[in-house]
Formats: sequence, structure tokens, C-alpha cells
Amino acid sequence: MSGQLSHDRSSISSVHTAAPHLYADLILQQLDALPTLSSIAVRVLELTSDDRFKADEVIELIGTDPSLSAKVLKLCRCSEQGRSANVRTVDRAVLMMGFQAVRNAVLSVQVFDTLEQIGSASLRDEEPQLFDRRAFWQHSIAVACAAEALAGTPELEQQINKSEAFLAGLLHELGLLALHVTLPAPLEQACRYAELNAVGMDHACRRIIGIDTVTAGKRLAEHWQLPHAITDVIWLHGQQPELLPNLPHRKLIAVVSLADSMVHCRYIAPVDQGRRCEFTEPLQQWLGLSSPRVEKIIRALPAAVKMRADALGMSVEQDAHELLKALAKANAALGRINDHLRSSADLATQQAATIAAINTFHRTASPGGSILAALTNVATSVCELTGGEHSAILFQPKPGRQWHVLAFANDGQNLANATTAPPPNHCDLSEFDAQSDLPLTALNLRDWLQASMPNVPIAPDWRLLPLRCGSAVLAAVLHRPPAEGALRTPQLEALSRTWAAAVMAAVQHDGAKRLGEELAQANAILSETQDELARARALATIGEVAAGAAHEMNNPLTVISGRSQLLATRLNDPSMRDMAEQITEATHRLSDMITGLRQLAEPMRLRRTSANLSQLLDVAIENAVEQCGQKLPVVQQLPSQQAVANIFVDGGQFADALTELICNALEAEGASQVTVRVQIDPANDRLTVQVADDGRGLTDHALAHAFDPFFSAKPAGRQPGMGLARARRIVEAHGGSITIRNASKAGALVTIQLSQWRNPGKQRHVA
Amino acid sequence: MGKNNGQKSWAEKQVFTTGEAAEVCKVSQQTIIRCFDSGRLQGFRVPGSRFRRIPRNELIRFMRANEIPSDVLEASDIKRVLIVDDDPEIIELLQDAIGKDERFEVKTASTGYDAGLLTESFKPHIVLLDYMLPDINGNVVCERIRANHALADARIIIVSGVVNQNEIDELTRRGADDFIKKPFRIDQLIERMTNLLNV
Repeated sequence: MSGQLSHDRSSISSVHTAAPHLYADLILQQLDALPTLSSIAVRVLELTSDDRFKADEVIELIGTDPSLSAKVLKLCRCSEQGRSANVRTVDRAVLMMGFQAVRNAVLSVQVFDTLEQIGSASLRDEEPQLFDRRAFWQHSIAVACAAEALAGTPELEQQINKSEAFLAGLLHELGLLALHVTLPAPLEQACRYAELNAVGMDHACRRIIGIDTVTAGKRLAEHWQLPHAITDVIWLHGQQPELLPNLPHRKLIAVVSLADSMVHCRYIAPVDQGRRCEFTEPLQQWLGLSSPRVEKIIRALPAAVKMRADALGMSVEQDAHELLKALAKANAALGRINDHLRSSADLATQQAATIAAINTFHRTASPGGSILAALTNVATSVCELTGGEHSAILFQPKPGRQWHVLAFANDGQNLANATTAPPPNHCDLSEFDAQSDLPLTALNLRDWLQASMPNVPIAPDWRLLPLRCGSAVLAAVLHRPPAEGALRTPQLEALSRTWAAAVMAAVQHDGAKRLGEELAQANAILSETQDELARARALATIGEVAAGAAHEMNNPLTVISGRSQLLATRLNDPSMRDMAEQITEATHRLSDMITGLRQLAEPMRLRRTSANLSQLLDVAIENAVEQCGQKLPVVQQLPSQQAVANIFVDGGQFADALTELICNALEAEGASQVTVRVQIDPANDRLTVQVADDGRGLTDHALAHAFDPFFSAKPAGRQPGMGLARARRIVEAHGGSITIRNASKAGALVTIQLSQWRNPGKQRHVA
Repeated sequence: MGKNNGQKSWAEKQVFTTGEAAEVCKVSQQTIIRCFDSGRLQGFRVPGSRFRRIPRNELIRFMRANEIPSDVLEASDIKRVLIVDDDPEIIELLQDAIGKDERFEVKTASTGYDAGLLTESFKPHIVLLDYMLPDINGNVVCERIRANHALADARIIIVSGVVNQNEIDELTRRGADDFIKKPFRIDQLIERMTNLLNV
């Protein structure tokens, strides 16, 4: 049985270590596993529960166990001092004191023996125990004696059986003992908790073990099938009498409560039960007892206790000795409480300093600030707390990225700011996740760090404190060890959460800001793409219309043109011939417009070859002058012949585009000269061709629609207005862009920009 | 129709006697007969008689194979022009414009099918071919003409209002010699034709 018990106990202990509260069911099972009372006690209980029991059988039963008989008789004699000195046999005792008293004496002896037996087997005496078993029994016997004495007063004599009061008093804290036997370690912890927090044992047991002592006691009493009155005393003692349920043995419960309170006030308790002397007065009044009578009982108590303890086989030490021991014990408890208070005060000071530091940090931190501002704040906070003149921060915005090493003076001045690859054998700051504040030398980081920021001295005793936020480590603080009187490392670690949260907030804010910007950019691109799409759709529609028109219109135009040509050959009158010629010209112009529209809409096929831009420009200028009939000077400004001798374009198409632009410039109102400027941007190797005139420039409306087909700012009917639209098509087919604006001085300025203009197959020429 | 100018024209002669063949080739009749009998010059005999007859194509082949100048067969200055277009007004216009020129003999067709038939019989020197025809497109007609050896020397000018550069390239690949866009200047069209025909 004891083996089984110890096994179960260990299983409960393991539950206890796993969770702060034990499950009540498990504990109750544990209690149920306690050994039952001896067969004699069980039999006595069985026999006395029946009204028709035979006293002879009980007497005979007790008689079979001589040692039990002796203890019972001794106990009986103690209770009936003076008039029962001649009680020598059990049947005599029954005769003298009544069957009830003998039965209670048997139970007292049996319960005491059983629990003593289990308790002795389960305890290792060398361990200092807050729960003192011996003191517990002394307390129990004292309560039992007090209860018996109270029951013997004239006010209560008729209502309460003295021996029952003794038994109830003896067993009233059965639960405490039961927990001590089944769960010694958790009970010790509960005792310590009760002592340090100045709370009652019931509260401490509920908090630490998950079940209070009265419930445990009641359960064990039921398990042992003790009489209902005893069970109820165990369960309900200590409560105010007014609050007790209307039970036949309410007075018994109140008597035990009063006895318990009396003993607590003047005697020694095994542990502080939290039940104070203030209960004594109301209980006394409720029971109708006078104070002198109670005082008298108390005075007689030590002697009675000694006698009963002897009778139960437990030696009670001398009062003075007992007092000294109690004093020593109290002193030890006081010392423990003092230590606890000192460490609590110390902790509170540190915590107050931590909170003050967090407050200061939050005062200086500005919401929505940059990452650098957040890091600066952290660094100054670190300097302030450690007393250092400067500190440093390792920052890695995302795993896999490079590390930023920043150093700050204690006034927030940025001393160093380097971006570098992680040190050898390191990759991400999250590697430090499992570590707390560690010396840099232990991490082999000092030399690397010093090399990253040579102007910031890093002492050998500097430490690294990772800033964790959730599962991420975004940054780590590098600091000198805290100075005397400054915050200690555990507090720095606690603060590191605040710093980490601030850095994380700054990073997230930064990310959100960047996302916002990207979104705006994406919106702009989307809008441009939508415009492009709309233009492409419009072009496609124009293309379809033009293709149909070309077929349907060119045949009639051919007839008109051909007939007018034939007509012209037959006319002798030159003016009439001219008219016919004009008809021919008009039909051809109309046809060209249709063709131009169609070409504008259909996909452009480029035949890129190596071409000389200078030559293309010559061709374009010649064509443009011929096409528009203007004889203005065209000035060329080229970087060098060689630089543009090999551009990779569809030469014919590109020359056409240039022709259109130059022609447009030549025809500009008020223009006296056209300038063609070619540049290569050294930054991005972009080829820029600008065609500028010095005319009056374009209106806003003309600028907005310059590239629309058929749009012309010139007097109506002069030109089909397809030139710039066509030039745009050609340039865009080359992957370039074309823009038009009014130049700052005078005239319009058309700019072509080409990124892919170098021949990929040939070596790049350097200007 | 073209003019004979009083000279004997072999231009429209489809079947030759051995005497005519000897005259065309400027050899004796006996030589022709020998070549005929030996199979070097293919032909047929008139049913019910022993008269030898030589088809024009075979005679041209023979002359070329033996490096005998064949221009005498095509000695006429008049160039046969086939106009193919589905628009009757265009056909009429071109007939008026080209047919009036004495250097050209003109026939017309309004579908690809008719054009195919006419090329066989008319043997045009040049075809003015509209690209968009009601039955088959100009590129197919172009290909058929090129597939016919008898028409190996025929020139083709595509005339169309809707042809893009890709299609022009495709037509050139299939044998077109030139492209001219509608509407056109008549003098330019004729200049292109004469250039192609070396007239």
C-alpha cells in the first residue's frame, strides 16, 4: 500500500510541477487511495451505526487488541479525571462513561495511529519543514481538549457530548494532514505562499494545489466513513455560526470553531490558518459562554493537552522549552519574511527604474518617425541607462539583407553609419534570438565591428543585447556593461522589448510609407497604361476603318484620277488642263491620307541595321526641305561624327520620323532657323535627338494634341496632320519616347529619347 | 489588234509545218524532217496523212535547246497586255489609257479564273493584276502564271489600293515584278510597263 501511495504521490507531484494548480479530481483520487482505518475501527463504526447494536460485541472487539484497549482506557481516564480513576476495563469504561465516549476514544486512537503511521513513513525528517507534524498534533489535541472542556461547561453539557467534541476537535484539521501525507511538497509550497503573502492556508492551498484543506478533510472523512457530525465539523469549522446550515450539530461545529480560535490565540498552531482571535468573542456569545469561563478553560488547557498527548502516545515538551522553540520558529519565519520583503523592495526599485526609463524613452520617441530616428532614440536611451558615452546598433531590416552598423553619442549624434556584409560565420541577426545580453568577445564580433566603424572605440567588455519583437530580431544593441547603480542586465532585457517594439514600429511605418509611394507610382503607371490602351484601341479602330476605306475608296479615286489625266491630254486650253491636273492631285492626296491612316494603325515592322545618324539626318533634312518647300537654315549640333556613326535603327523609318519633325519645325510660324541637336547622356547612355525651331511656339491645345492624327495647328487644309503622329509611331516602335514642349526662349522643341540604340552585336564606341 | 506591218508574223502561229519550221530556224526542211523523225523535235502527223506538224511550244523548246535565236517567233513589237480587275470602270479606264497606245495589245479579265484561261491562250507579255479579286487573290494568280513554263517571260505588275509592305514582299516572293498603288499616274504606269518589257 505504501508503495502504491508513493507512486501516486509522485504522479501528483509531476502534475503539480506541470501546472500551478492540481486537478481536484486527481487529488481526491489520491486521498481515496489512503489506507483505510484498521479493521477494529471499521467494525466499531459499523456496529455503532446500527441502533440495535450489542455493547458486548463492541467491548469484545476492543478487547481483542490489548494495546488499543490500554490506549482507550487511558484516554477515557484522562477525560474523566477524578471520578474515573478506577476505570480499568473496557466494559467498566462503557458502564462509567457511556458507549459513545468509548467509541469516540477508539476512533481517536485509531485515526491518530493511522495518520501517524502514514506520516512517519512518508516524511524525511532531515528536510526543514514549514509544516510541523508534531506541532500539528499538539494543536489538534489542544483543540480537542478545549472543545471537550467547552462541551463540559454547564451551558453546553446537555447539548454536546464531550467525547464527541474531543474527537471532532482532534480531527477538525484532518484535511491539512491528509494533504501533508499525500502531497508534502505542494503543501510546503502552499505553506510558504501563505506565510509570505499573509493569507490563510485554505486560500494558499486553493491557489497552489487547487483544493482547500476542508474539502480534502471532508473527502477523507467520507472515505473513512466517520460519523456525519465529525465530517461536518471538518468541513464547516471556522465559519461564523450565523452562516452555518441548520444542522443538528451546529453547536458542535461552533464549539470546535471556538476551541480552534482559542488555541490559535494562545497556543501554537502547525501553520497559520488565517483564522484570527476576533472570532472568539462572537462564538462565545453565540454559544452563551462567559469570558471568565473560557479563560478558565484556557488556563487549564496545557495540562489537559499534556495528559491527552501522553495517552495517545505523543510526548509533549515542557512549556518553556516549547515556547523557546516557538520563538525560534517565529524568528525564522520573520527572517524569511524580511528576506522576501527586501528582495521585493529591491525588485520594485528596479521595476520603477525600468518604468521610468520606458517613460523617458516614450517621451523622446515620436510616432511616425524614420527608422534612423527610432534607432537614435534607442541608442541614447541605452547610453542613459548604462552610463556609456556612446553605443552602437546593428540593424538588419530583413533576413538575408546586409547589416547596418550605426554608432551614436549619448546626445544622439550619429558617429558612424556603415552598411556591410554580415561578419564571418553570421548571416542574420535572428541568430542571436536565443541569446540574451552577451559579451562581444564571446560572439567573436568585436574585431569585425571595430573594422566596420574605426572611429568609434569599442571596449573589450562591450555587450550585445538583441532586440526581439515577436519572433523577429531586427536589431541588436551594443553597449558597455551597466555602471554601478545603473539598471542591471535583466532590466535592460525587459527594456529591450520596448526598444524592439519602437524599431519594429518604425520599420513597419517605413514599409507602409514605401508601399503607399509604390501604390501611387503603380497608379500612375496604370493610368498611363490605360491611356496607352485607349490610344491603341482608337488606332485599331482607325486601322479597320482605313483598311475598309482604302479598298472602297481607292478604286473610285483611281477612276477619277485616271479619267482626269486622260481628260487633260485631250484639252487644249491650258487652264482647263490645269483644272484636270488639280483633280488628279486632289485624288492622290486623299488616297495618301487614307494610306497614312492605315499605316499609322497597323503594327510597325522594323528592320534594324547599323546606320549613321549623321547621314540619316542629312537625308532627313534634304527630304524635309524638299517636302515642305521651306528654305530655312537647318543647324546640326552633333557630339562627334564617330559617336553616332553606328546606331542600330531601321534607317529608312527613323529618317522618315526625323523628316517629319524637321518638316514640322520648318513650317513653324515665325521660324527663321531650325536646330537639330544630338546628345548622349553619359549617366544612362540615352540617345537624345532634339529638333527646335525659333518660331512662336504652340498653344496649350496644340501641345496636348500635337501627336493626334489629322491634328494640325497650321491653317486648315494645308497639311493632312499625320507627320508627328507617324513620327511618334516610329520612335515608339524603336522603344523610345517623343515629347513636345515650348522651349524656354522661343519656338517648339521636340525631343526623341532612345535607350536601345546601340548595336548589340558591335562594340560600343566611346565618344 | 496588233498590226502585221506586211511582214510574215509567226507570233500567233500555233502549229508549224516542217517547211515553216525550217524557215523559222533558218535550216533546210530536210534537217527539220531528220530531227522530227529521230525524235529530237517532237510533233505529230496529220491523221490520215503523213504530214508532220510541230506545235509552237515544242519548236521554241527545240530552238532554245539548239541555241537557235527564237526572237523571230516573237518578232512583233506589239506587246500583249492582260488587265485583270473586278471593277469594270477600272478596266475601261485602263483599256482607254493603254489600248490607245499602239505598242500594246490589250485583253481583260474580271476574275482570277478568267485570267488563268486567258494567260494560256493570249500568252501576255505583261499582266496588270489587281490584288483583291472576287474569287482568288492576286498572289495565287501570280503563282499560277509563274508555274507555267510557257509564260516564263511574262511580267506581272500588281495594282492595288490596299497592299501593305508585308503583302508586297509576299507577292514579290511569288513572282510579281512590280507593284503600283491605286490611284496611279497613267504615264508612270506605262513607264513602268515599258521598263519591264524593254520596249
